[in-house]
Amino acid sequence: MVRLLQNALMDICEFLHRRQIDFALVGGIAASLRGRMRTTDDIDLVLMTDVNGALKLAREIDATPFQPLFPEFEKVVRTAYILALEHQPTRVTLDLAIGASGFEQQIVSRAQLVNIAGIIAVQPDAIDWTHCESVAGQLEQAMQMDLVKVVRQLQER
Amino acid sequence: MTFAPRHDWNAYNDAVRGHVARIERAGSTSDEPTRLEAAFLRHANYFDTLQVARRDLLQDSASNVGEDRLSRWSKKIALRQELVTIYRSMGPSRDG
Repeated sequence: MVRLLQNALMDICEFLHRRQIDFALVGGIAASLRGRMRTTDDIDLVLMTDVNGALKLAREIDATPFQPLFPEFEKVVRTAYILALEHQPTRVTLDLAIGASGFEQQIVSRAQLVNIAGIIAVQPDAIDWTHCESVAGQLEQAMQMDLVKVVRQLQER
Repeated sequence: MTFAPRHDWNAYNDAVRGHVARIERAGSTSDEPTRLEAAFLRHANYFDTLQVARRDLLQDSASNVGEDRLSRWSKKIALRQELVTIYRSMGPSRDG
């Protein structure tokens, strides 16, 4: 029996706990813990760190089961605030978002440690998670309507 | 006028003591997953099944896993870059 998600999640949680980096589960896993199943391709986390902290983390992963998903990871971290990793034993990809906004920092600061099937993870507060889902839903709508580009063009005027 | 009769908790506790003890014993030896754990394991099973199926399908097709993943991540990163640019251009009100 394959245990791709469990193995990858256990390793990333341990990796972050060891480095004392606060984080929270978001995306499909957080939704499923609240009883809302949905498909997901990656493990999504938000980290309480900044760009330099994320780059430091990326440079410390040589002796771990992880590797950067892209050779140009530094550029991706600086421009998109994402540290994209691959868990080599399972080839599961991980989207580690740098929690730059006040909202993301609030999610992490109010999240709670939980033991899920032997994995010490961090679950967002119910209200924060609801807001997170709402924002993600609106973002999805915006993508469908290309609103993000419209906002960008308006700002450039 | 008298007060309403007080509930006799001692009698109640005596009556249910055996039952509560049975529930506690059952709970302490149960190997059923908690609600949280059950939800996670269901999601993990779903995730693993989809991942394995996708890898199998892409192996048989002209495309490959690497290209599929790259395309998906390119979209994801492009969107995040847009959002970061918008976020940076906002004032202090951006954090609510």
